[in-house]
Amino acid sequence: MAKEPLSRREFVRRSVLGIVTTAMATRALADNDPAGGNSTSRDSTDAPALPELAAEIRTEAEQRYAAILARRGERLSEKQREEMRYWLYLSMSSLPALRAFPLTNADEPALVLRPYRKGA
Amino acid sequence: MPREDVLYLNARELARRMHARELSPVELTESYLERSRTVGARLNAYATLTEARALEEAHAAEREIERGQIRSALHGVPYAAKDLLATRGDATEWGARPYAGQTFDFDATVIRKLHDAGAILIGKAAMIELAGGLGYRYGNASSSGAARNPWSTDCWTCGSSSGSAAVVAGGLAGFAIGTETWGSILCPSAYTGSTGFRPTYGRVSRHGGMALAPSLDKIGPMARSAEDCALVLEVIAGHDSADGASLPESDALFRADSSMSSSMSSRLRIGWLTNQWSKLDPEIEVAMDAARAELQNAGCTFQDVALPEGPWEAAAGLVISVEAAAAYQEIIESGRVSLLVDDLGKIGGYINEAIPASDYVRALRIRAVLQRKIDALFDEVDLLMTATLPVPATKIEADLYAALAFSDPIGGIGNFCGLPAASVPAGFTGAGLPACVQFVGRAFDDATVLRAAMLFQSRTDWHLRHPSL
Repeated sequence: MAKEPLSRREFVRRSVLGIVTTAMATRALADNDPAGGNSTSRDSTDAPALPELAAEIRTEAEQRYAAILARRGERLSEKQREEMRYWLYLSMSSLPALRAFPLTNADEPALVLRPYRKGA
Repeated sequence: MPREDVLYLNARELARRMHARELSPVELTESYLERSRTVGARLNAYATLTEARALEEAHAAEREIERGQIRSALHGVPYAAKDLLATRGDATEWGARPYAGQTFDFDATVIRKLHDAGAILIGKAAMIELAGGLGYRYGNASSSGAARNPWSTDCWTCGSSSGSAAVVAGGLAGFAIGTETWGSILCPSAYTGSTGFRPTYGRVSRHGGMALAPSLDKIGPMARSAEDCALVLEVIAGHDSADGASLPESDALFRADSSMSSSMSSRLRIGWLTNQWSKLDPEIEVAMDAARAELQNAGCTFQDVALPEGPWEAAAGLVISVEAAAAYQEIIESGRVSLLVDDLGKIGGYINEAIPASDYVRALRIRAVLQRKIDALFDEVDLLMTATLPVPATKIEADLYAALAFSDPIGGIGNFCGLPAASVPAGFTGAGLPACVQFVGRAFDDATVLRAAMLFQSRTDWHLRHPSL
């Protein structure tokens, strides 16, 4: 049943911000968890270490971070900015796999328009 | 008034006693209301009790039953609805402070159907704020505080259907309605040893329910038996033109008796997932071994099945993030996300709204590929099976990002593809916390999932146990 423990690279690759949105974190933070992996404390005030990203994704992450700050930055405390940057990096760590997945022109999105007509 | 052991009966038995006039719907409702005011308050199970409505419906049920007018198998059974379902006139606050005081002047379709079936709404179950749609790290991410696990009140119920799980496991109603985008029925069902069912996407109308990620959101029953889940599903399933994703009536309808034929159950071909959880808590693993053995003894056959490899969870998570940002656009734009409890929720929307459309569409294209790959697995098996969770219920103050730090490929795949699934209790840890097993079925094969769950429960009594509160 049990798989071999994931490598650190694999942990990061599989990280998905969206999963935390529905109660199930999908990655172990053994190496990157600012709280040490099994913490029940939220008192850590240290800035979380940013997850490692490929150079190209890191550039994109910083651009996206700058864009978010330009739009919303005035609402955020310094701590929130740091935390947001961490979560942004985490959410983008899976993008290489997503973007590398082979797709052809024939692979349409699973999003169907249902033509609407009143009474139909 | 009914004794406490009566309050823990399953909905089917409660209804049978009421229809045989051995039990009064009014007395049952009053008992559940009283217990919800006391025990329910200790568990943070409810956002609101709908007492006036409940008593009105209970009296109406009693009159009709006395006249022999039985509306359904749930006629007279009190239930709780997750507080993202609109109920006319009562507060519907989505567990979130930005929506404090929100009301609707109509009932969600699910609520209307249950009303028409004679079920009695006794309250709006507590939930994680916005069903976790903008992210959260702690179980208290709710305007009503952290819901407490009836099996151990220093443990959490999981979420986002946190209150619904507490209601069922705590004997506060006959059943509850929950929702799942990813994990929000199965996880709280597993934490609390309830039986939870996630239907095929589109089978149950979401009209009147808060949207989180419209292409993944599903509504389903949480109860004390799979049989009850089937009875509830029969009532709430069906086409609804008010829900754009609603299946055609021929696909949406569900008949509970389609799952209740035990003669078909023993021929189930079950695929045991070999690459779902990287590690199981040892006590969970013991329970899973016993569950497999039980089903094998019942005549089911097992084979190892591996989920296809691919960026499925990443794609699912991205789609959820984008759709949630759209769903909550108003409070993100206005900045009222700052009113949310959880620090992650306060900033998650800003990250999600920045995701480019090209990645979202790519994720949807990957989804279509995945749908075909996962469907192909069911050419060889009727169901997939694994532990619902690899760990028992976590402490109420736990940082979920650390405590639930594991991949969940079948959760991602199952929800991304809209597949039906059930979680049923399969044992207990030494600390008295539930260990649960999940069945995942092919799209539209809700009946087989429930059939497996019923077969398992016909041979075990884990679902009959209840905590002392």
